[in-house]
Amino acid sequence: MNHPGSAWFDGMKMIFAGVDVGAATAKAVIFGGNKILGYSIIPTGHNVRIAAEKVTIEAIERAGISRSVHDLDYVISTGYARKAVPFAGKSVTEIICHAKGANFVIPEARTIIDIGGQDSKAIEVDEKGNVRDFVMNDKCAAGTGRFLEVMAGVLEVGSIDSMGPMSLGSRNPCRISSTCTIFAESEVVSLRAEGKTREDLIAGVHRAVGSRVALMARGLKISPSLIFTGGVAKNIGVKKVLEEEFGMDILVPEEPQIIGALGAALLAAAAS
Amino acid sequence: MYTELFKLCGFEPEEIKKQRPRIERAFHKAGIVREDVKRAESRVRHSFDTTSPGVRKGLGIWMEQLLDLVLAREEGKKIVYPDYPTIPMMTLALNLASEDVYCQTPEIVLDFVMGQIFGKLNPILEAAETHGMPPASAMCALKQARLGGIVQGIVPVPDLLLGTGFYCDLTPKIDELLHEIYGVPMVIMDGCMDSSWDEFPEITPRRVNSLASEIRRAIDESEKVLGIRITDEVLNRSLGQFVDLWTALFGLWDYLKRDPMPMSLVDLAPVWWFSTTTERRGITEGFGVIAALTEEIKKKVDEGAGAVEKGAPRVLIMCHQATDPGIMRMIEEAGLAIPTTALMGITDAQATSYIETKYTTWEHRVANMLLSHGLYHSTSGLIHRYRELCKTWQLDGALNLYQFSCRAFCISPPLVKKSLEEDPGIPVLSLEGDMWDSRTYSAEALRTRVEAFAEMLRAAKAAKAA
Repeated sequence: MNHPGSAWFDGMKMIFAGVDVGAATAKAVIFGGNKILGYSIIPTGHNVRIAAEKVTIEAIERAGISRSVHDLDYVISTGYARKAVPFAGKSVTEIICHAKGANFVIPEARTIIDIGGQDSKAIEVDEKGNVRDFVMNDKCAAGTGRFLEVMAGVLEVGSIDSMGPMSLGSRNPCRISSTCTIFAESEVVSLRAEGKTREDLIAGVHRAVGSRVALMARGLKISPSLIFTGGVAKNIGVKKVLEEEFGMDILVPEEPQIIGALGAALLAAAAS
Repeated sequence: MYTELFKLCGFEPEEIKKQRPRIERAFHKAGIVREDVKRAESRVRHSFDTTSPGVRKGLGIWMEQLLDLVLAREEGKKIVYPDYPTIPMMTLALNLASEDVYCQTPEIVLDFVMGQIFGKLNPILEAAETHGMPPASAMCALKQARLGGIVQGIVPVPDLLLGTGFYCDLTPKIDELLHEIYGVPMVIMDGCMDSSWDEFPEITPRRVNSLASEIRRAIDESEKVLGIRITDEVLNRSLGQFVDLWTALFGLWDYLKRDPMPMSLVDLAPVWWFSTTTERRGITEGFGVIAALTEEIKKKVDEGAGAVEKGAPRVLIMCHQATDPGIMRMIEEAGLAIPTTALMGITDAQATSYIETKYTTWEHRVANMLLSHGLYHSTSGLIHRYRELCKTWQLDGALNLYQFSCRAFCISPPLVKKSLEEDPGIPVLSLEGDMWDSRTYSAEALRTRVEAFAEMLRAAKAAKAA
């Protein structure tokens, strides 16, 4: 993920970090010399402060740098627990950070769809990665990673990621009509009792998530260079649904889960 | 147990002593106990600027309004409950017509005092849910408060219900329910918000005549039910006092155009609510509070003091606090100045209607004034209003925090966003909310979106300046 034409900081000696503490996972990116030096992703767990510190230490280790979290030149935090990162100089919302991060990895991106553990959002950006408009899910878990997690549990699938390939084998995706996670769970249980295959159920769940997010995103101008980020972007089934919904190919970065943390690191570099 | 709370609300020790019997009777009826009082002290300190004598006095009037409401029956009043949105000139006229009449919108008092001050509104809403109203978001919580207050025995059963069905179709439904349960006489001022698109700001005589005849009928019915006479002199006096009140308020609001914005709208909300509910106390004592706040705000302007940073992006918000000041405080914490709301600002169409001479009868003038507001006219009238407010107040963005359980209000968000982004060309963030019920929405749930919007507006403002 190097961006040769970037106007961002280009010196090697200064080291920056972006820390994204989300509902499900904490992510950290160590950035210097206009490139990602290391990153880490861990479950957030019950203590957001510990998660923030641990993930940053891991990312520093992977970058091969011998510094503590307090010796980094500047740290910006983001994510729902952004204000609980004691070693961050500033906190910025994940919407702004995703826009910056996405612009860095795919400069032609003008629309970003991010589906995380607790929320989903669509962001319209300009050529510099500035947010032009955005929408975010209101209050309901349907259309988020949490919805998929619940369904993975009900259907006894190991992880959200592994649901993706399984759904590709579906011949007749089920229709999951509910937009509420709790009621959708009951619906899936009933459909399973009717003898629907697991593949068809999973494909139906992906359809429910994808169509809900697409409906929300249509409030924005959808450009052909659409990128998909967040943990759910690793699920090929949801990606496929979104591509069908928008009638276009969707780009997924090499590591879609760290885009918010990357954006925070880029903002940290720019702030110095 | 309540001395400190009343002091925080601007009461002098002598006044507390004098009011003690009323406070104790009202608190007993309202189920307010020691822990509620402690919570209220903490909420008032946290939510409002208690260093401001004007703010404290404003809160104090609301505390007294709770006493007036709860004790209205035992103090021998003929009780009238107009619906919200009220026709403030009519509420005022009924209050002016006879000292024996107590005309007030109970749900506003309950929302303000039991909600904003005591944080004890939920049991009232839940009481309504066990007495025939659908739960939570399925029904406007303001209407739940109207029923819940009565079934809980906090609020007396009235002698007359005045429904404003010309705007909200739920108000007649809840009044029908109250009529069915308690046999209270009801008068509904009917109407229809349909109009040709873009007809506004012209108000056709057809609309004015129709609404005026409903208002007249309600006045006549009120006289019969209450056994009082509402003379032309009283009606005209109500109109005069209403215009005087709004003139005083707009003198105060005008200072919010300054940068930095000198006072938070959260602190000015108590006085604004006087203008919508126009009960006797709010009007007679409200002028004094507005004058005190005007002096305070002038001083802040001279000192260059601000409730938010100088240069903060300025936004319009559609719904403002009624039960939970936390949301507006959170918007300010995100670095946005809120100089006006969709309900508070005055537009040219409104100002013109105040001096309009085309209509000569009281009811026609009132109908014309109401319709010129925009909100009570049509969706296009509402959008016209937003547009004019954004331009007049030179705003950088709009936070369409819309009332999702309100059928008259929630239809418009996509249209509002599109319209304001086209003209005057400002960004709009649509947020689903509920100004009457803090069970479904909280400041924390909205914070990320508001902060991102603030960051976006700051970046746009900086780019424009460069």
